[in-house]
Amino acid sequence: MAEQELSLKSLRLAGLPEFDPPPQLWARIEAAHARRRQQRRLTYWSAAAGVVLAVAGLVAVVAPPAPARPSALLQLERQSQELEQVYAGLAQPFSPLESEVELHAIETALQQAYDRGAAAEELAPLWEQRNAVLSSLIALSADGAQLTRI
Amino acid sequence: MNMNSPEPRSGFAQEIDAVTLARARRGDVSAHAVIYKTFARPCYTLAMRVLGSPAAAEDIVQDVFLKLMDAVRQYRGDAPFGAWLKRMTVNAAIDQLRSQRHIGPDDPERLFANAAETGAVLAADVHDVMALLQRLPPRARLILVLHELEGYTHKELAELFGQTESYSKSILSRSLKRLQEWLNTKPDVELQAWPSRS
Repeated sequence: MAEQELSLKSLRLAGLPEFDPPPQLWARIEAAHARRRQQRRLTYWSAAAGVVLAVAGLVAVVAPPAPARPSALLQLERQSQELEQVYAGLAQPFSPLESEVELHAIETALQQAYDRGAAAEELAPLWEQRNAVLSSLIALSADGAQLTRI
Repeated sequence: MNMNSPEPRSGFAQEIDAVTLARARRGDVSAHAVIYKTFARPCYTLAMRVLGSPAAAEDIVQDVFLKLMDAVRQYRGDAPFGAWLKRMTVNAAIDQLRSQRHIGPDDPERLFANAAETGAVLAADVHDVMALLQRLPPRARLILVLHELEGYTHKELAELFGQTESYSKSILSRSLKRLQEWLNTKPDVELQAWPSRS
């Protein structure tokens, strides 16, 4: 037989057997697939948690620490917000020009103080001033009287 | 793959319907099971023919189907699904032979050097076509199975092994000649194809 004519068919080897995989193989593949998916999910969430922690750590390092606010200062801030809401809720708020100018000046001073990281000792008097002006305006609005401050 | 060649015996020519394919792409395990049911046999048969070991063939099928469950999302239908899966099976088989250093040297002379030492076929082996095939060096067996049974062209084999077409032609020719020599040691024996077995 010439070499170039050789083939599995000419050698009568074409009828090679076919094989069936063992019946339990699919169950093994399914189980391996489920394990892999679970592992990927775990890896994903671990990575996500790692990223969140890394970002939080980075923010903590890069961002300046928030100044500790004494409870007295917080109390003044809260009081100021409440007065502001009351004043804003008045049907006919009494708002003379000089009071508005004074309020604006106090708020500007507060903003500048916060911008330069001022201490609570400097901030508290400004909040007290703001609260005083707001309280006066609320009282006068209720009485319908003119604001007179010395 | 040469699509004009006769339909391969291994069953990779079967088709998967579009609905099952779409479900498989979405990660539907029952669709994966349908694909497995369709192609497990040809996949396992190819692995058995190339590797000759049930355990190794099971590993190949498992690797291929695990890979398929992810890769099917990227399957765009450029090639028939069976051909795509066959390529994955062949690549997995080559990877396993390489990892076990069974792929053998590139040089055809050296590749067949050990096979020549095995001598004549044992009487029991003559009846077992698979055993005869396993006497060939793994790389030669792979080329023979892919060309003669799976319809690969020499051009495709050359690309697969990073060699020239004449290289795979040479390996194939030597493999067939070696098989003929082994068969001639028992000319009175009529070879019968084995029935399918689990």
